[in-house]
Parts: sequence; C-alpha cells; structure tokens
Amino acid sequence: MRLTSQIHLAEDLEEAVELCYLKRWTDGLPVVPPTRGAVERILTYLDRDPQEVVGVIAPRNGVATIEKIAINCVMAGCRPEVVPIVIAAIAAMLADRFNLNGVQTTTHCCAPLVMVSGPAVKTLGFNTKEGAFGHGCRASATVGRAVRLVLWNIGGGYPGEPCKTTHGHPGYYSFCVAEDSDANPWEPLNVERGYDPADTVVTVTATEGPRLIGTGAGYSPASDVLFVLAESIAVLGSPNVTGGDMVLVMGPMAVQNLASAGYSKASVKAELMRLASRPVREMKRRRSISGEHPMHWTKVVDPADDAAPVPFIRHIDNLVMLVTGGWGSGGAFCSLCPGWGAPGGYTVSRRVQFPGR
Amino acid sequence: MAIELLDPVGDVEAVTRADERVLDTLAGKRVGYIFNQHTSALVFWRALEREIEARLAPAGTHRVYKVNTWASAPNDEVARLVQATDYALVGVGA
Repeated sequence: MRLTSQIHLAEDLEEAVELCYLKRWTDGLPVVPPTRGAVERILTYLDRDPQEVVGVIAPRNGVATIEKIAINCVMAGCRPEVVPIVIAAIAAMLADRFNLNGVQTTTHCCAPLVMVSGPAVKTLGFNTKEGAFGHGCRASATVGRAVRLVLWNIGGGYPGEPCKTTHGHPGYYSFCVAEDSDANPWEPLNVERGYDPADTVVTVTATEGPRLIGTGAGYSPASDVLFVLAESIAVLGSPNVTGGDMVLVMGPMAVQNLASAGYSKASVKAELMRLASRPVREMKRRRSISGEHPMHWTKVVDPADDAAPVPFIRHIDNLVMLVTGGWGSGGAFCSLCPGWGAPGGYTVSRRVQFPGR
Repeated sequence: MAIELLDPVGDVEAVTRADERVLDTLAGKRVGYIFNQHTSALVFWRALEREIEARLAPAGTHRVYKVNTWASAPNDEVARLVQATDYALVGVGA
C-alpha cells in the first residue's frame, strides 16, 4: 500500500500522545496516535486509492485525500466501518452553498452538524435514544470527532488565526446526531432529501449548539406545542433573522403529539414558518443587527408596516427536522440548532458510499 | 521499538498562477475593486475609491461588490475582473 504521509517516530505510547500535542495535531483533547497499521486497516476496508482526492478544505486549502482522512479517523477513534460516513460528511461540506471557508472563519459560533439517516444508523450502532448528540456512543462521537480533526488538520481551522469564532461551542469537538427511524412517524430525512429509503445519507448544516425547548407535548395540545416551538425559533438575537437554515431536533414524544393530531412533517414545517416571526414594531424597537446589514430583514419586509411579521424561517427548506432522542418526561424536549443565517452553512446531503455496494 | 506515526496534516493545494506583472505606475491604469459590503467597511471603501479616482485617474474601473460579505467572490467574477484591469484592490475583511 503506497502511503505518502510523512512519518514521525515516538519511543512509546506516552510520547506518541504528547507528540500529537507538540505537532498541534489535536484541538486539546487527546487523540489516538495514528500508526501505520491502524491507518492501513481503514484503507483496506475502504478499498479506495489512498491518494484519491475528496476535496480541498478551507481555509488552509489542505488537500483531503483518502489517506489523510483515514489518518484523522484513526486519531478520532473511528472503526473502519464508519469512515465512509465521515467521507460523505466532508464531501457535503465542500459544496459551494455550505461556504466552508466562511463557516470555519466567521465570528459567528457555528460548527458543521453531521446528521446521519438511513439503515446504517442501526447497523453501525449510532445512538438515537438518550444522549443522542453523541456522548456515550462510539459511532456518533467518533464520526463527529473525525470531521472536526479533518477541519483542524487539513483545513487549518485553528481558533484565533484564522478562525474568529467568538466563543465556539462544545460541538466543535464532536457534533453528530442520527435519526431514529423507529420513533419517526414521518418521512425520514434521507427520503425527504431525495434519496432512496435504502440509502444511508449524511446531511450537514452549520449550526450553533443545541438549545433545549420544553414543548409541553406530554400534556398540551399540538397547537400549543407548535406555538412554543415557533416562539423559541423567533428570538431576538437569532442569526436566522437574516435567513439561512436551522435544525430542529424533535424528541419522540413531541413528534407523537403532533402526528397524533394529524400533522405531517410538511404541515409542521408550514405552521412553524407561519408562526415563527416577530412584528416589525418590535424588531425596530430592539435592534439585534445593524440597519445597514446587507442581509437585513427590511430587504424582505416593509419596515413601515409595524404589524407585519418578520419571518425567522424565510423558506420551508430553511428548516431541517430530525427525529431522535430519549422519550423523556412530559416536557417533551426538542433541541433547536440555529444556523449561521444568510451567509452560509446551508444544508447539504450526500449518499454514503460503502465499499462493495 | 519506536512507534511510527503518520502525519495527519494535508498538503496545501498547489495553485498555478500567472506570472506577476510589474507596473511602472498606477496612474492612468485600469483599476479593479473586490470589496465586501459589510456595514463597518462601506464608508472606507467609498473614501478609498474617491482617493484612487482623484490621485490616479484610472482609465477604467471594474467593481466586484460581494453580495455575501462572508463568502469568497465567485471565480468567474474574479476572472472577468482580472481580464478587465491592470491592478486590483482587494478588501474583504469585515
């Protein structure tokens, strides 16, 4: 197997871990030292040319070859079987509409959220119950971690220079969630995104960290659940006042409430789009963005009409919905991940290509 | 026995660039601007363009004002600017 990466030597495991820090190959958490044997195990599984180029990762414009991705996957602790999911996530982030250079360098605090849907969620052991955002589950945690290490080591996404994220968020370490097909009465995300139900699909959106919403779906009617969700979306200070995508991670109890009341996924989206707004008068009184902002809401709403609703979901496709998580209590929690707004981080999906299929 | 570690850092993409041209003067040459449209920069860009006009009297002006401040200018727009100008000022920071 022809590998081209430079080789570094360490005397023992402890020195190898320290070498990873010394070389700035990690963002603070310890990593698995990328030995040749471990990298070759992934490459053997993938059965692809190690020098095949998946793309160029901004802002450093590092070339993401299969070999380099495999090395970073070893460091993240990935089993070989999940590496095709990492590759699909990286390919998705390279689409122009995602604006990876902007996502990596903006002062806003968004990180690529990797969403996995389809059959491999079960076969590869992603967690879709309690703790769905990944802690406690190797597949979820290591896929998210590998994506971050690729953005770090190949993309050069170092905070300060060149990345200006004001605070970042914990999802910068690892940010992956998978869809629960059993708890989802609606069209799954992979199908909604235009793929076959038999396809495992990775969808990425650049988002802030998840913010919990107690919907009260365990004891409230669907109309109240929708109202609470909409109020939680249309908050002053949200970047989505400029447009752009967001992800609403729906807990199973809230979904069951809405589905039992006859709501489809599309009708929930339509209702949230209608309800998630603030009146012009309030937006004018409490300015969260400069009036000269190039993507200001006055570009889409008449500022002279005080009663006009300023939408926080500009288009139905700006709202990505994913069903996952524990059953929970009557509060029926959901999690909102606001996006970056109009500048980028838009949702992109890619089918996962497993070897031999 | 020593442990061999493979370097995870990707090689930087090799980009082919045209030969640099050296201008004897900027006066009377065609100028290009690639400017963001962020609020904090607009006044400065306008002042800069006025100064260029006053001091260098460009033979032509080609502007790329980025609609999305936070994204790179499209490659085709940059290519057109390169063809239409002798030098360019690039101001993209917020």
